[in-house]
Amino acid sequence: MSSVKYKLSFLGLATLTLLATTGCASFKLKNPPPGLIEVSSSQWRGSADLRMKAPDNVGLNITTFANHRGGTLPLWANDMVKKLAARGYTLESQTPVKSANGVAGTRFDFSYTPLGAKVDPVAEANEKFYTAILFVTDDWKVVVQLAGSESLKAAHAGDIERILKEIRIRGCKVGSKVCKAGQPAPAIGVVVAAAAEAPVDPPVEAGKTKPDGPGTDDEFAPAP
Amino acid sequence: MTNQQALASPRRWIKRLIPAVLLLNLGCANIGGSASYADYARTADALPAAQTVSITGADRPYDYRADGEYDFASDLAEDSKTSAADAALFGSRAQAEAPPARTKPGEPSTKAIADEQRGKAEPGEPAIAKPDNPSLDHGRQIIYVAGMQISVYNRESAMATVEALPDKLGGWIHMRNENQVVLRLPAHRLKPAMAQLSTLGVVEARTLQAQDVTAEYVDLESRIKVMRETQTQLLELLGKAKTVEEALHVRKALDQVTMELEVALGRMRQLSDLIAYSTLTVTLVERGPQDNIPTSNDPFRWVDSLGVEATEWR
Repeated sequence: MSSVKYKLSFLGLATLTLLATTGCASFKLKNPPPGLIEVSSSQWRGSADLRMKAPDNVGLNITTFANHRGGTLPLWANDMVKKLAARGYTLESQTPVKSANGVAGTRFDFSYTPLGAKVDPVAEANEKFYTAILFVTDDWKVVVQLAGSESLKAAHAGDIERILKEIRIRGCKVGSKVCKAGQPAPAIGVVVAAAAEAPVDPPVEAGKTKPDGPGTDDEFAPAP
Repeated sequence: MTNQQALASPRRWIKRLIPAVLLLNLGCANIGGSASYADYARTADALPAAQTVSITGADRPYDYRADGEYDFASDLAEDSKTSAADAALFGSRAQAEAPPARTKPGEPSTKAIADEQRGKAEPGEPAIAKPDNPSLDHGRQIIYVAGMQISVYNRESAMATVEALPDKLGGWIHMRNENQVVLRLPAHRLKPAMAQLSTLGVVEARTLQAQDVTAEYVDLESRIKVMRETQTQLLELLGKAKTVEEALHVRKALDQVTMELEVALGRMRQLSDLIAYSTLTVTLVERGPQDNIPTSNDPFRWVDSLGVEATEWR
């Protein structure tokens, strides 16, 4: 009898250890857009990374970074836009979005010509579109990136919409101020899409009206 | 006690005066030695002005290659019987092909050189004179070897651009493999070439090594000059030889000198080539998701790993 108890307690401990080390992923994308094939996927202590590729060489990358105390969506969005601009990315539009479970994020559409492409005689073929969606929670910064040749931008326009409908972001704590920090101010000279197109509500706190809101245990449950 | 102090006082004065007298004497010796300084100054004036090979291209009007190259036309000519004629030809061609002396228009170059050597050159004009006789102008002979490692988005496209560079700048491709090209470019075009290549992508490493070979160059030049003179004299002797034994004896010496001259000329050709054309090794690395692109030095470098490259699979 005692040996059974010992075995059960050992199994429980092992399960707890496994859960503690792997943690829950900072995001989950159940049904990726059709035509994208998974290249790699990893998860470690909540930090996750997913890479997918379409046959036409359009790539999707969803990656995670740990958030720091004081880090909010407006702050990190500003940081990201400035640093990408320094690398030659031109911000074309900025749109407020939200994830399938209601976490607020911002979509940035950039155009980009890789370094060296200007001296290339076929420079036009090197022009890229680059869309980055930034979500910031108490624990994580999650960035959804979709990029490819500029000529394929229209063909993949629906991919981002589909991803937003499917992706669930984790890491908002109960009563979190980070998740309610609001949208970043529009960057100078950037066309901001009409807010009516994608109304942003503050994420629903755990244990309140929506049981599957961010911060709850079953936050990856289907959205209403 | 007072008397002793009174007596000690002059002694103390004498002790203090001795060093002053010695100093005065030394001073007089220096005055007398001013002539030797003047001699040094004259010696320095008499020396040919050192010339710097600039890779910056700041001295563009000056054709560097002519400085770095040796006139081999006379060397290739037949040695026997024509060395004197060759020497004359060498002198005239050197004058004809020498880079234009940096003079004011209409002034003879020798005068300009003399003026420049006296420090009368106008402001803005290079203070370095180019003597008419290139054998006197040893200059500063430097071999430049440079290297660049560039992280590029598309390696094939970047490689094509690198390979086209020598055609534009007047050089050639020395070696090429999958991700590396070794270019030989005119020394004065090295810096513009490196600047142009840096636009291909993110420059991860840049090296430049300069090797000063002035001493070896000057030594070779002197040896060649002496050996040429010896060769001429031996040829004259050969012409004056009365017996076969004498002729054979002179011929043996002549062969030895000719052989040494050829070795020296070969080394001179090699040096001239290395000086005139710099070696630039370009290594291209294709950027991929694993390569961060540094944007700033702040503690939050998360954006470095974002971008189009992060969605690529290379």
